[in-house]
Amino acid sequence: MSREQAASQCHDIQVTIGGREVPDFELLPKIGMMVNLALHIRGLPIMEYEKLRLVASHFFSIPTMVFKEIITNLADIEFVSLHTEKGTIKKITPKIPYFDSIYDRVGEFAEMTGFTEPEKVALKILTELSSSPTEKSNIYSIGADKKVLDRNLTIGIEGGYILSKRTRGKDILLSPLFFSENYHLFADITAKAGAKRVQRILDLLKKAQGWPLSIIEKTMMVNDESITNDELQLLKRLAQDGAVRPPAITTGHAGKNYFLFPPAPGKSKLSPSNREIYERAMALIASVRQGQLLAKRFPINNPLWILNSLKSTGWLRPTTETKAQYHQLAVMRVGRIESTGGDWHKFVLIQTEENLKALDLAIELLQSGVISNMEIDQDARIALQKDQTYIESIISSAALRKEQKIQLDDETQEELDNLLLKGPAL
Amino acid sequence: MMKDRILKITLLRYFLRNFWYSELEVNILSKERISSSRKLITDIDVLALYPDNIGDLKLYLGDCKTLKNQSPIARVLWMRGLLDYINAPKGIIVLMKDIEKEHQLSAHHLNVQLYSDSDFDTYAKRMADYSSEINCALGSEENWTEFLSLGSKFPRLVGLLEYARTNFWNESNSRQQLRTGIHQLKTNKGELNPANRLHLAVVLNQISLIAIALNNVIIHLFNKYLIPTSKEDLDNDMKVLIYGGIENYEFLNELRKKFGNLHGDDERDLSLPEWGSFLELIRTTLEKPLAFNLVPLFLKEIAFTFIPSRPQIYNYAQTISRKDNYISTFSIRLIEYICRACNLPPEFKELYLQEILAVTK
Repeated sequence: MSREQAASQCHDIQVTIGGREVPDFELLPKIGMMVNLALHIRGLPIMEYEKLRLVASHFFSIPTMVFKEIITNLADIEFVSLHTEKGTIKKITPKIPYFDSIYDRVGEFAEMTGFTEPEKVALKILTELSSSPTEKSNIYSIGADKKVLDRNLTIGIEGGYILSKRTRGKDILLSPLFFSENYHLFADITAKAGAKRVQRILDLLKKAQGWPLSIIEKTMMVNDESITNDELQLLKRLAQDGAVRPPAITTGHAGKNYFLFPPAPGKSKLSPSNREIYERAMALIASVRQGQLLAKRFPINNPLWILNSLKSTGWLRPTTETKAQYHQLAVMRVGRIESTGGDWHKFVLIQTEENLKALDLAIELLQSGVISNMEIDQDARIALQKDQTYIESIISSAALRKEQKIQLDDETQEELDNLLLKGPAL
Repeated sequence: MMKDRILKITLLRYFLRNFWYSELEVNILSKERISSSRKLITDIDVLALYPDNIGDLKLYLGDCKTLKNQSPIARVLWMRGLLDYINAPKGIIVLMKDIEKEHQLSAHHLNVQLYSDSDFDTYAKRMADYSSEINCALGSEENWTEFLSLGSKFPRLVGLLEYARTNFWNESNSRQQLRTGIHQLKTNKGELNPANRLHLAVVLNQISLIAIALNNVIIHLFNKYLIPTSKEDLDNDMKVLIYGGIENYEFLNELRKKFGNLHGDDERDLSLPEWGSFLELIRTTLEKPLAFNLVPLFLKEIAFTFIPSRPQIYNYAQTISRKDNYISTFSIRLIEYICRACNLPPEFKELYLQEILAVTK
């Protein structure tokens, strides 16, 4: 495992376990906290130490008693400068590099400090679960002491970064960090078809983001890779049951088409504030894939060129297919469709910050197939740029909200509903 | 013991010849208890459900014994007590010995039929159609032996199997049976694998039990209100009916709202899962409510055809389905609803529908 990957997974785990104390982990949560803090303060001006401490506690679940150690570690790797008066840190200047990987530098620090055995096992398990859900028995083949493994699985399940689902009589493990939605379905298809087949399908979708289901059915291929009939059935089920969240485009000549994407990542990779941007990016890709693979008269040769052109000019040249092809983007207010005479329309991007980010993300997804830089919680960055009173008011109102009602997770809600279904015997 | 089993199968086949839903070896529990688990008080050898004049399925209990050391009338008195205890109108006892006329006459007064095995043979041949060729998966002793021993093969399914053999028959009414039937299937869904034919049999057997409960709910609804004029009427009436009255419904609904984490679709009032589909199912069955009578038997027969045994060509399901086209239609609709409501792997529905379409060709 690369040090970049190790730091990224520490971040994933720490974001999910939040402020909960895990006695087995020492360095791992600290590395996660360092990454999280660095990601959020990159590019911000000099700030009060106290303010950052409060924001870090509230938004990133960094306990105040370890905050000093985290910020000192960041200073050690030259990610921040500390301004002290009589030995007390007063202010902090962020110096997080833009052109070096945060994960790599923090990972290097972790490598030098050294993870404990249970931490190494935790990272190995997460690596295993990042590509696909798997049967529990497969986890035991990663080569670790069974006791340590069992304890680690308990931590993961309690901490919320591993889910154990019983389906088709098998124990399936999966991580909501990588399969944030419809995990029942992913567990079920893994139990049915095996982890390797699910992994292959997801890899294909990652490489060919937004490929239309109808084309896959017709050619029995995703991009240039052929698939078996069983794999097609799995893809159809993923699409029908919404796990791959397919945007649909309806045109007069090609009917209704669904465009397939791999599962949306969890909150450590895609913050809730960026989820809408991700959805807009998927809609952008679906529209250009429609033009590339299902056009009537004006096929797109290279979807990436089209998106880059949209980014640089802010509009796309008129065609008679624009109206249907980009209709969904107009509904989502990513752009508007302007008539240029007769059936001819051009698509014009609405230049908002969110739309530009969505366009960048769409380009990135087509290029690399992975999401990056979508983990930033904008609320935290806004808070860091306000005064201390603002932060204190946010924290106190949030604390009040928390005390109002204990929220049940979806699974517990389902259990409650099932219990009420049984009800008392009357 | 072996002779007992032969008698049970003979009685079971008689019930099946009459197209009555049949079950072998059902446990009866104490109704009230002070210990934490319900205690077994007796068992029923063979049980059947026959439709009464309005289409309600009623219990018919069968008892088969060699009984060397007990008087027949003592057994009749036991049966009478059991009939009252579980609110069953009729019972039948078949014994492997000659029976005095007085015992038979006394039994008749207690709504119990009492026959020797040879007399029963005469009785059965004249009370059911034995002339047509019927090959029935439910009539196979081999299938029952396999089915009743599934608990040892699948320890994780014991809850579901035990429900089918015991709890369902001990619920106080049909609405309770309907809710607990779905609840039990949802509880065990993680253990169910459609690649295993025995699991296919267990799940469809459970759906056949739910169909029994649903039949009585539908019949009650139809006899009280005929066909509700609007979806809203059906919606309100069904919720109150299924949850045992308005007070109970409001209490449970309040509990859910107070402690649940409701958002989006969950914000609607307490109801069975996939409530919209359930209402559609109910409304469809009201087109011909009496045809639903045979749905439980039809489903149970198909469930038993999934039990791997010697190669057999069964024709019983086909014979049932020919009685009314609505039987297979309602069966398909019910399977679709239950598979969706319990979130079962999709192959369950696909394989069941495949089987139903094959027998109704």
